[in-house]
Amino acid sequence: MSNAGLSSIDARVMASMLRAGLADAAVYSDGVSPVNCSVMIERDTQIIGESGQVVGQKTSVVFLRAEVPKPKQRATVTVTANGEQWTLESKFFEDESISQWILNRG
Amino acid sequence: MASSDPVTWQLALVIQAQLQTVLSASGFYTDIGTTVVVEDVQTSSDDSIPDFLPVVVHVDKTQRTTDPTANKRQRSVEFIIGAGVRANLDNAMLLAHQIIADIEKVMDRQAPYAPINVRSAKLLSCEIIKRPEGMNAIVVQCTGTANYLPS
Repeated sequence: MSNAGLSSIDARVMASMLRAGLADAAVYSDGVSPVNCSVMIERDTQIIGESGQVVGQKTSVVFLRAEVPKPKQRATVTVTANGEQWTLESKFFEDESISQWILNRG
Repeated sequence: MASSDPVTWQLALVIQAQLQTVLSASGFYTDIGTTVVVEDVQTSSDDSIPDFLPVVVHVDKTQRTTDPTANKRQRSVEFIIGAGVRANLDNAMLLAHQIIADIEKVMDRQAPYAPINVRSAKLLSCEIIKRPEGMNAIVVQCTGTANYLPS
């Protein structure tokens, strides 16, 4: 499948998710100029420690690379609707069309 | 602490009291002494809680002492101190090192072990638990040992 084909499919999926309320409008910022984008945020939890366990977030975000071509570690993403802000911690998936990152809210 | 409580429980309470003195106002790096508990606890690292998560003291495993010169009744006990703190990408390791320094410092101090028949309580090791990606907290776990005479 060509890059253009894959990007087109993902863009349509993202648009559908936005209409369904399952994706969000957001602003990506890595210190250059902020970029308006659409994101899918997936929330989970994870546990650290044996005694005195701490339950923390495990949250990831999907960017369309047509909107944010090269997301960078330590950049921020802010959900427009509620101002929720995250820092990009580590990339765990990327192809020609999308880039998926683990977020940190520390 | 009631003197009728088991020695091992009294030991947990002495360690708890010792750790409660770890406050930045008293010359420590951190304020992990703010909340020190001896019962199991699971805490969320979300925004609604303070920066310093509860410190947990567990007195874990007891066994007959292996020291041939010791009193035949003497037993040894292992204790675990788990301390967590909210952290981000830029300060997680620094905070972990500060917690270790504070725990080592306070556990080096004299504590009222003698009245509860505990001898030679000492910290053996501290470990920074690997932080899972995305986790906005860092946890340190320290282990120690003490000898005691059962009541």
